[in-house]
Amino acid sequence: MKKDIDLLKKRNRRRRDVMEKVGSTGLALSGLIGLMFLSVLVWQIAIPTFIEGETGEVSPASEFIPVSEYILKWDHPTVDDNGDLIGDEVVLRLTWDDNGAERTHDVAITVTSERNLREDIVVNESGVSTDAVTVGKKTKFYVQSSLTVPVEIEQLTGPVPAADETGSPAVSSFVISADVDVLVSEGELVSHPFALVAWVVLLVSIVLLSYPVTPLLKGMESLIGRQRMLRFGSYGLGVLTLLAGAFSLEAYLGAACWVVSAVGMNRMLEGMERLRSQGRDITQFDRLKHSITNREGVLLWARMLLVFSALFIPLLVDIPFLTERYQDIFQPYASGIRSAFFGTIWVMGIAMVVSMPVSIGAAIYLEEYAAPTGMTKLIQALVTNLAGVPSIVFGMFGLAVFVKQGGIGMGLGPSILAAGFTMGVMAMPIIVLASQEALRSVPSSIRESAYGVGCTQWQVTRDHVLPSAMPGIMTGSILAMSRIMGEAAPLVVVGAAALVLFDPEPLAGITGGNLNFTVIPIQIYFWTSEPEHAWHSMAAAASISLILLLATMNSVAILLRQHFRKRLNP
Amino acid sequence: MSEKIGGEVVPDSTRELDIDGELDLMVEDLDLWYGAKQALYGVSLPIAKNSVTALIGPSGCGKSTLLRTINRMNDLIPICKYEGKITKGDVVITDKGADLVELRKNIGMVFQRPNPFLKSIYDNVAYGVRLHHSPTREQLDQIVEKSLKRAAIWDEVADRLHDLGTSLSGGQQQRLCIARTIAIEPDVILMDEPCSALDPIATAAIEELILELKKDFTVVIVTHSMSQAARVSDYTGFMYLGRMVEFNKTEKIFSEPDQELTKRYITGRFG
Amino acid sequence: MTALNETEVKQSSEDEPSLLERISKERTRYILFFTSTSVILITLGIIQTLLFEATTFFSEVADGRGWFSAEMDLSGLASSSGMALLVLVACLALEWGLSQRPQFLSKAPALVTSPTKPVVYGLVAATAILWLVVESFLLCLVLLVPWFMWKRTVNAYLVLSSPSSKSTDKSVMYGLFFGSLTVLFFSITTNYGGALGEFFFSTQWTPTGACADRRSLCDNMSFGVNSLLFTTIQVAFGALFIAVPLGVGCAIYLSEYASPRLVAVVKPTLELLAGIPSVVYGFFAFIYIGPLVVEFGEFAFARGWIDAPPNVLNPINGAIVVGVMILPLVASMSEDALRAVPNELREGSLALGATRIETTFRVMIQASLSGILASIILALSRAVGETMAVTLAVGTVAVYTTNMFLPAQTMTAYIAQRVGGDLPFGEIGYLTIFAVGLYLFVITLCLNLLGNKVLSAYREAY
Repeated sequence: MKKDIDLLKKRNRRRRDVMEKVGSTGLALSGLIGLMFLSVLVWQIAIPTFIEGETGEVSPASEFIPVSEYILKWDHPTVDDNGDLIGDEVVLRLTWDDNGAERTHDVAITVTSERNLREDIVVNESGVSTDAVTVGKKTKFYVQSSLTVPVEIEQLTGPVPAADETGSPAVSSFVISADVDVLVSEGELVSHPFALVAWVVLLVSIVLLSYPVTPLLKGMESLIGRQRMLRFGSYGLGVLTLLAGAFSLEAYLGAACWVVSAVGMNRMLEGMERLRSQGRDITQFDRLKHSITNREGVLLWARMLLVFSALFIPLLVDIPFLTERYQDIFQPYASGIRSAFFGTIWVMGIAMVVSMPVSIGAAIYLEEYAAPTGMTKLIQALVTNLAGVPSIVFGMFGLAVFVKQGGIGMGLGPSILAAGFTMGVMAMPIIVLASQEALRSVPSSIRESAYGVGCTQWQVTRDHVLPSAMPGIMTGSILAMSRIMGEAAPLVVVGAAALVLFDPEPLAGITGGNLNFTVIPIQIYFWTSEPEHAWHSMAAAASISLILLLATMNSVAILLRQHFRKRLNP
Repeated sequence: MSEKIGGEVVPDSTRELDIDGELDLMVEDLDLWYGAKQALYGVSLPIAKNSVTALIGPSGCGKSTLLRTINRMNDLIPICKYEGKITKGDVVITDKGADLVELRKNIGMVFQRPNPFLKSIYDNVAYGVRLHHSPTREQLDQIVEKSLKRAAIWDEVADRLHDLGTSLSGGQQQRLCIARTIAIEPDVILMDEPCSALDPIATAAIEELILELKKDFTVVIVTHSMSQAARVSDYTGFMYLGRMVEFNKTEKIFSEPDQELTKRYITGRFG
Repeated sequence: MTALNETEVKQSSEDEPSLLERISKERTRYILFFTSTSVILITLGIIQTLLFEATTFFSEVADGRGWFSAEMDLSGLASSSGMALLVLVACLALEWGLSQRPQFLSKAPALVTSPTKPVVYGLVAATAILWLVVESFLLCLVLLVPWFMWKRTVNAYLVLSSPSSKSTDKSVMYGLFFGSLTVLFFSITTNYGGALGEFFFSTQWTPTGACADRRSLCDNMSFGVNSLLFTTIQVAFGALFIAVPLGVGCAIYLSEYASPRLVAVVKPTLELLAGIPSVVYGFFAFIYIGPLVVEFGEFAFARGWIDAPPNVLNPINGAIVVGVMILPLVASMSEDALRAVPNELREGSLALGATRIETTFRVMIQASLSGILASIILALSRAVGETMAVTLAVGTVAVYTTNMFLPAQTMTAYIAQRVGGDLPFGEIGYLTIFAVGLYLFVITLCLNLLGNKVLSAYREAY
C-alpha cells in the first residue's frame, strides 16, 4: 500500500544523522570548554604558590652589544657576622653551547650583610671567571657574557632571590607550608594533659555510641542510675581543664569534649535503663540503638567536635602563612595573612549574628504568617530584587549608614563592626530566599495535622515546621556566608586597609582603638595590584587558602543537609 | 506451569495466540528488567493489521512497559534492559542496530497525558512531517488539514490554527496529539491510556476516533477501563504481574475467559 | 492559606480587642513582621543614600557651572519640550474625558474614527518631517503617544463600540500624568540645567582636575558617565558572548545527553566554579588572561587593525574573565529550566521519529525559552554589577574608545578605585561615586525586575 505521505520529497537521512553527531559533539565540547577553564584556573592559581629559584638567560652578544648582562640580586645574607653559613648555599648553574658541546659551570654565591659589595661574574670563551663570588645584601650584580650563544642560568640550591632573613623558602618550595606535630612538639605536649584526656574520652564515647562491644556495655551497666554523678563529674573536669589550660582555645575545646562525651554517655545510659525496665538484655545493640534518644544527632555533633578539636588537641597544625605571619612590606616571601584571616573570621561572625535571626524571622513571617496583601508582595519583591543588587552598592550603603558620621550615619568608622554589619545586610536577602525555599518545601500536611491537634500558629511553626525546615535553612545560611566571605567589593568601599600589621579589634568601632582591619579577599586584591612578581605568589597562596576555606564551609553545609535529609526520610 | 506470588496463582505467559487476518507486529518471549527488577516475563503478543488490540490489567502489570518497548521508547531509560524479539514484517525491532528514526516514524505513539508542543496547532501537526520530508507550503497545508479532519478536531480549530496547542482543552489536546501522530502516516499507533486524563465526553470522542482510525491503521491501546476495551477493541490481552495471562478475541475474553484470574479481574472480584 | 484562616477566625471570635491586646496576644506575629520590614528599611536606606548624595552631586555640579538658577526658568516651556508637554497634556485631557463620557467617541466625525489611508500616511509623514526638522528626540517620542492612543481607542470603538475597561484607563492616565511631569521637568531643566545633560550625554569622564582647592569644582573636570557605561557594556556583553553559547550548550548537554553519572560530577564542579570568589577570578585575569590577550593584540597591532599597542589591562580581558565567572550561573539556571520541561514533550517528539538534536532544538529549547532567557538576563545583571574581577582586569583609566585592547574603566571599577584612596566626606569625588552607584543600581534593578518577571512567567507555564 502506497501512502500519500510517501509522495512528498524525503529529507536526506544521512544529513540528519550527521547533524545529530555534529550537534551532540558540539554541545559536549561546550561543556568541556567550561571544565577546561576551571582546570586552567586552578593550575594558574596553584603555580605561583610554588616558588622557584632564579632561572634566566643571558642573551647572546653581537657586534652591536659586545657584552650582554643579566642582573641578579639577593635581599638577605646567607652568612652571619662570623662568616658561618645560614641555611643553604646559593649555587647557580651556567650552561651554554660551545660548538656542539655543552659546557656547564657551577658558581657559589655568598651573600653578606655588608651593603654595596659587588662582584660580577664574567663568561667568555675560556669559561667562567670565578667559581665563587661574595656580594652584599640587596646589591645588584651581573652575569656578563661576551659569547655569541645564549647562556642559561639556573639556581640549584639556596633561598630564592627575595627570600626572608632565615633564608627560607629555599628553591622550589610551597608558600603555604604547614607543620604538623602529633602529641609532642619540641619535647612538650601540644596541649594540656587534661584536654588530651578529654579528647580521648570523647573519641572513646563516640566509638561506644557507634559500635558498642559487650564487655564495655556490661561495665557501663553498673553506672546506670548515676547519670547525675556523671554529669556533674564532667562539668567539674571541664572547669578543671579550663583552669589548667588557662582559658586557651585548647582548654575551651577540652571542656566541650568533656561535656559532649558526658551527654553521649548519659543518653546511652538512659537508653540502657529503658531497655532494662522492659526486661530486655542491654547488650542487644540493635535494640539499644533505637532506645537512645537522638543518637544520630549526638553522634553528628560529637564527630564534628572531634574533628575540629583534633586540629588543636592531639595535633598541632601550624600553618604560619595563615595564623602566624603578618604582612611584611619589604619581604614578600616572609608575609602571611594572619590579620586578614582573623579579620575574615570576625567579619563573618558579626555578619552571621546580625543577619541570621532577622532573615530567618523575615522568612518565617513571609511564608507562615503573612496574608497576601500588597505589603507582603512588596516585601517579597524587594527581597528578590535585593538579592540581585551589585555587592558594591551594598558597600556604598554601608559607607553612608555605618561608616560615616552624620545624617543617617552611625559613625562606626572603617571598622570590623561596620564591615560585619554591611556584610550582614548583604547576606540577608540570600538567607531569606533560601529559608523561604526550605519552609515552602515542608509539606502542608504537617501544618494541618498540627492545627488538627489544637496547636497555636507559633507552636505549629516552632515545633513542627521549623524542625523540618532547619536543614534547608542551615544549608542556605552557610552557603550565603561562604558567598559573602569571598566578597571584596563592599569592603573596599567600607574602607578595609591594604596593610594591617596587627590583629584586628572587633569592637573598635564603639570602644575606640585601632579601626584598621582587612580580610583575605582584600589582601588578594591589593597583593595582585603590586607590580613585583613575588607578591603575586602571595596573592596566589592567599587565593588557595580562601578557596580551601570556602570549600570546607560548603562541604560542612552539604554534610549537614545530607545528614538531616537522611533523618527526615530514613 | 504457574507460580504463586503473594497468595495469587499466576500462570506463565500464555502461548495461545491465534488471530484472524494478516499479522502486523509480533512480540516474542519478551523479558524486561528495570535495573534488578524484572518487569516482563516471557511476554508474547501478536498484533493483527487494521485492528484494535487492547491491553488490560491492574496498575504496574507491565502494559505500558510492553507498549513502550514496541517503539523502543524504553531505550530512554538507562537502567532498562530487555531480551526477546519484536518483529514487524522482516524488520527486527529489538535489533541493536535498528534504525530508531525510521521505526518510530512507522510506529507512532499517543501518550497518557496530552503533550502538545509549545507551538501553534498548525506547527504541532506539521512538526513530524517537516522532520521527515520537505513539503511545499500547499502540500503541508493539505496534510495538516487532512490530519486534523481525520482526528475529528478540524471543525473546532479551523479558525485558530495559529493559536498555541496548549491553549486547547484536554480532550482537544489529546486529539491534536493523535492528529500529530497520524500526520506522518505510521502503520501502527500505540496508545498509552489515552483517555485516563479526560472527562467522559472527551473519552467518547476519542473512542469514536479509534474506531475510525482502525480502517487505516493498526492500533494498540493500553487501558484501565474494561468497558473501554470491550467497546473499541478486536483483540484483548490480559496482563498480570508482568505476564500475559490471556490473549484472545475481545468477545471471547469478556464472555468466557479461559483463566480463572482473568474472569475474576473482569468481573471486578479481584485481590 | 491555613495559617491565614486560623488567624482570621481567632480575630473575629474576640469582641474587638484593642490594638495593645492584640499585639500582646500575637507577640510573635508582630516580632516576625518587624523583622521582615527590615528589608524595606534596607531598600529605603540604599535608595535614600544613593539618591541623596547623587542629588547633592548634580546640584553642586550645576551650581559650580552656573547652569542651575534657583528659580526655574519657565521660558524653557516655549521650546520643543514645551510642545511635547502640550501634546501630552492634551492626551491626558482626552483620556480623562473619554473615561468620564465614553459616548463622546461616537459623536466624533467619521474621519477621526475611520480615516482614509491618505490621512494616516500624511500623519506619519508629518511625524517623520518633524523628526528631521525639529530634531527633538523627546518631542517625536511624545508624538507616538497620541498615535497609540488613537489606534487603541479606534480599535476598541470598532470592535465593541465601548472603550476598554476602567482599570486600563486609569493606568494609562497615570502613565500620561507621570509622563507629563517628566517632560515638564525636562522642559524646565534640560535647556538650562546641563548637569544632567553632561552626566548622561557627555563621554568625557575626568572627575579629578588639577585645582588648587580639591573640594571645589574646576573647569577641566568633566562628568560624562558614558565612558564608564560604554566600558561596562563592552565587558558585560563580551561576557555574555562567551557565557551564553558555552553555558547554554553545557546546560543542553547536561540535561539531554549526559549520563546521570557525568551530571553527578559536572554539576558540583559547576557549583565549585560558581563559588570561587570574584577577586580570585581577577587574579586569574591579571596573571593569565591579560598576557594572552596582549599577544592577540600585538598580532592585531602589527597588522594595523588597531591604532595603539595593547595593554595587559583591557576590556577584552575583563569580558573573558567575567564570562567565565557567569558561565556556571547561565549553565545551572538553564539546566534547571530544561529539566523543568515535562519529559512527555521530549518523548512525544522522539516518538514522532525525531533525532535527539531535532528534539532539543525544535521542542525543548522552545519550551524552556523564557527560563533560559531569564538566566541570561540575570547573568547580564551580575556581569554589570561585578566589581573586583573587573577592577583587576580592565584597568583604571576612564576612556571612551572602541579599541578594546587599551585600559579602560567600568562603573563598578570606578567606585572601587575612587574609594580605595582616602576620600574626604563631601568632596566632589566622594559625591560622584553615589551618582555612578545610583545609575548602576537603576540599571541592575531594571535587569533584575525583567529577569524575575520572565522567570515567574516561566514558572507559571509549568
